[in-house]
Amino acid sequence: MSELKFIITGTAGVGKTTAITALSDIPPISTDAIATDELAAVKSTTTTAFDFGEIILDAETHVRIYGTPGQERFRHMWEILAKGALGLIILIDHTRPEPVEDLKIYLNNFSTLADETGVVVGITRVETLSDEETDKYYAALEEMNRMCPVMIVDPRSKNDMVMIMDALMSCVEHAGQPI
Amino acid sequence: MASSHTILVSNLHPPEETIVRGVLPTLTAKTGHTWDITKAGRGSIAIVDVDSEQGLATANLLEKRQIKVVRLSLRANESSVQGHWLQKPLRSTEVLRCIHAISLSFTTDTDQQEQDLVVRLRRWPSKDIIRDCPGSSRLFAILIRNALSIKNAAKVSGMPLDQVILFVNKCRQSDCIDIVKGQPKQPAENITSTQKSKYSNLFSRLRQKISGAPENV
Repeated sequence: MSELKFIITGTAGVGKTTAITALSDIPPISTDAIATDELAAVKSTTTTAFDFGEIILDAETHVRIYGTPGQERFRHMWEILAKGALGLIILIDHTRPEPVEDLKIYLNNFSTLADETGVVVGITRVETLSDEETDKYYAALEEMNRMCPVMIVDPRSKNDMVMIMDALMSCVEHAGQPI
Repeated sequence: MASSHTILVSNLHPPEETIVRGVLPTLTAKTGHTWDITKAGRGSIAIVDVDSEQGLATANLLEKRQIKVVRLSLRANESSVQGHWLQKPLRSTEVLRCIHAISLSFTTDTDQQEQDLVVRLRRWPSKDIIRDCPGSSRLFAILIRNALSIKNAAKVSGMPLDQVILFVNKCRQSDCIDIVKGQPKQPAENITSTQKSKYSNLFSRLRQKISGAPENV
């Protein structure tokens, strides 16, 4: 069986698990693990978690979608998960105080994966964005010398998730295309 | 530039012809072109019922004659064939939407210059545009990273020129695309074949799976 994977990242509660549920052929599986990092000296336990779902193309070909928190303290987890991934979706909660800053953080943290494959940004918890608000996201991308799709998505909507996956695959297909 | 256009209807039942005839005034108002309908002869656009061998043959023949064909079928939603489709039962809103969309790509000698316009996406198109231009995400992905002439964008993406023009016009209406001044960029002769062959089959299957469309055999 060949394993292929995409990564969905974003802040807690942005809709990663919901997004995976919309796409997956199986109920998303959540994992918790006891992390043995420097925090163990301060706290007795700390946890890392990720979700995954599967899109089954055939018995030999399963495409996994991993939902992973992208904060620095989970780096040891998502760096492993991101290795070999085909593409990245960053979900941004537009209702958070600094959503553009959130985007910059996640793009920085996953810059290697974004460079090597493709990235699409999904803005959640909003029905419409004004041109001014949309342009703030694109201005941040331009600042980071990276141009990629920014789309409003509802993670509960399969149509929206299909749309964002389609965009991601197109970006990956043309990532290295010299024109 | 306004002009007169004829819709050729082939293999349609009388109620379906009535529906098409009924949208003509609205179509004229929306497009600025004058429209009429014919059951024989030549048209700018043909609506053909393809749920029969005869209809299918007619559609193919008209396409070879460079007429824009809209296929009417019970299985329109299941088809993986590119082009314009209408689902039975025929609805006037869908006829209007489809013909209007095609009319946006009509070009005159003057409009030929538009094909040399160099464009680049400033923002990813809205969901409405994505829905109106199915299968265009590869074009979007190319144009959000590159400034290309409309003609070259069609060449690089492999999409029909009229669909690219349609897309660009929609994007201009929603102000998500820029006209770039300067020399149009020529596309490279060779698309990175490694990238293309590595993912194209997998992503094709994945797209079909998640969108619920049946796989091609």
